[in-house]
Amino acid sequence: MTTIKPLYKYIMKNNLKSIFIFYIIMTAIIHIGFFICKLSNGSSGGIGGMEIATIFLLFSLVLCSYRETMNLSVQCGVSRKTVFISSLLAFITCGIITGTMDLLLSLLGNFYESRIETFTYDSMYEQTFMPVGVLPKFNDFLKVLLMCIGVNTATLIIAFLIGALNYRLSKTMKVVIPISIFVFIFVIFPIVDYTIFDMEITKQILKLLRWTFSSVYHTLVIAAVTISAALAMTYLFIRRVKIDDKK
Amino acid sequence: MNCIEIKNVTKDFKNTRALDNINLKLEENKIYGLLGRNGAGKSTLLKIISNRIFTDSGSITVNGKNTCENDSSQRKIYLMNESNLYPPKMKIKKAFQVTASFYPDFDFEYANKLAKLFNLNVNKQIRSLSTGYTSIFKVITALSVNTPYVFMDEPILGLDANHRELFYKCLLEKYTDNPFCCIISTHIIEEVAGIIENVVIIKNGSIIRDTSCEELLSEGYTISGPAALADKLAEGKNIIGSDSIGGLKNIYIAGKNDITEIPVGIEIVSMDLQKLFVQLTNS
Repeated sequence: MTTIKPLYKYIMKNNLKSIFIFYIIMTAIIHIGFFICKLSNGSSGGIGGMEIATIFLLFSLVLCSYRETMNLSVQCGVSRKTVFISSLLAFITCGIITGTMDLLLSLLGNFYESRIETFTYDSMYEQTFMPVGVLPKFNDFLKVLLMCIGVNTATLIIAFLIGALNYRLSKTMKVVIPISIFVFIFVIFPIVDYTIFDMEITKQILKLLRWTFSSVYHTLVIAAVTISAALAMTYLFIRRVKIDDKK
Repeated sequence: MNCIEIKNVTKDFKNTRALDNINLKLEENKIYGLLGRNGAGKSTLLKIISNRIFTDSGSITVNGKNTCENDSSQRKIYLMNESNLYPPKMKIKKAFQVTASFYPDFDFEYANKLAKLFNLNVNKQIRSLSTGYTSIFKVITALSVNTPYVFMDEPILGLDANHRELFYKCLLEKYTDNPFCCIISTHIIEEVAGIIENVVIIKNGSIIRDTSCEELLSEGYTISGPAALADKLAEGKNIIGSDSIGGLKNIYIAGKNDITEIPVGIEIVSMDLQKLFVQLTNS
């Protein structure tokens, strides 16, 4: 516990700085979009899917800081297990904070949308789960919050897994694995699925995707499963990792 | 007794055996010199103790508790080595703060005092430091953490003579005021010879000597004087080396000094640590 707290604080401090700057920019974009629509008489415009930008931010934030955090922790006598626990706690907190901020952006966007007809704001939730042109209600905003927290946390954990994997791999494997994944998904899998399974696997994947995006709760279930699987794999990668102290 | 105990530690890197069944006890409040030739296994041993890499077999305990993936044991240890594990963009004062958050006994006042003594600008980023100043930053951090066990792997790498003198002075002052176990691994043996109390010599992954500096130095002596006289006196003894300047000759002898009658013009002195080390580790 004594080392979890300082490491948690260190990770949070690093992440919050970037998150704070990011949301200032996002808020500014919504304001600028609104004022452009207001000033240009009659011509309409809109902003949407800003949560995607959050996902990109969180992904790059974890990937870029993984190596530094791991090395600093070991220099300061922190075990890999504690690095894992502290990171997990920090990522859950970041997921909640960014989820809440995404909701606030959504509220701000919808507030402006209700002020003038020429400005439209669609959050990822509205684009995925709601009919076009319908303004979300209070209940929908709760779902936005849940979805954003779930998706953002899952993003952070997946980035954590990729960071852990990347840290362990040799230079050769860092090239071989992404190429192998690409070849498997776009060459081997389609051939195998077409020739052996009569496209049955693709059909099942599409069915799962449709199910995932048919309800917020389904998306949350998938996010929870993804988080659990990614965490288990990340722990395996971190557990006995040799510290890479080459310059 | 409080100590770091290394039991039957073995480590292989592919086909190379870096450490071969190492057994060692590092006691509190002593300054050790960890000596060995390049590739002997010194850095590997220090990295294993500080949990950076894992052993293939054997165990390491700090005050009876296993060090492997154990936060409470690891907080009693601080390793500074040639590689920098701090984020390169981090400022030095921030690095002090971060280290202090993990090591509660970190002495800020002392760290800043040392930074001033060494002319280290704490507002600089770590990546902007020269090799010498990077070593100074790491040495200051290591001396300020106040952990019972501090490992210094090549602490004087890139330091000029003035800074090296200052480092030894600061280390001894710190040790006198607040004793701790300091393990210095270095190739500059002549300079640390006056500081270290105990010597651990590693050769090809095995410990060949683990004794007090005094006892080790008594393992050999030097016969100095006119070449003919010195050669005559050294006859039948275990000569491990010699060098000549003009008509004078130094002959290095392994073993206890049993010469009772010293001829006029001959001087018998203890062998210095570096000479002894060279002879002990020559293959």
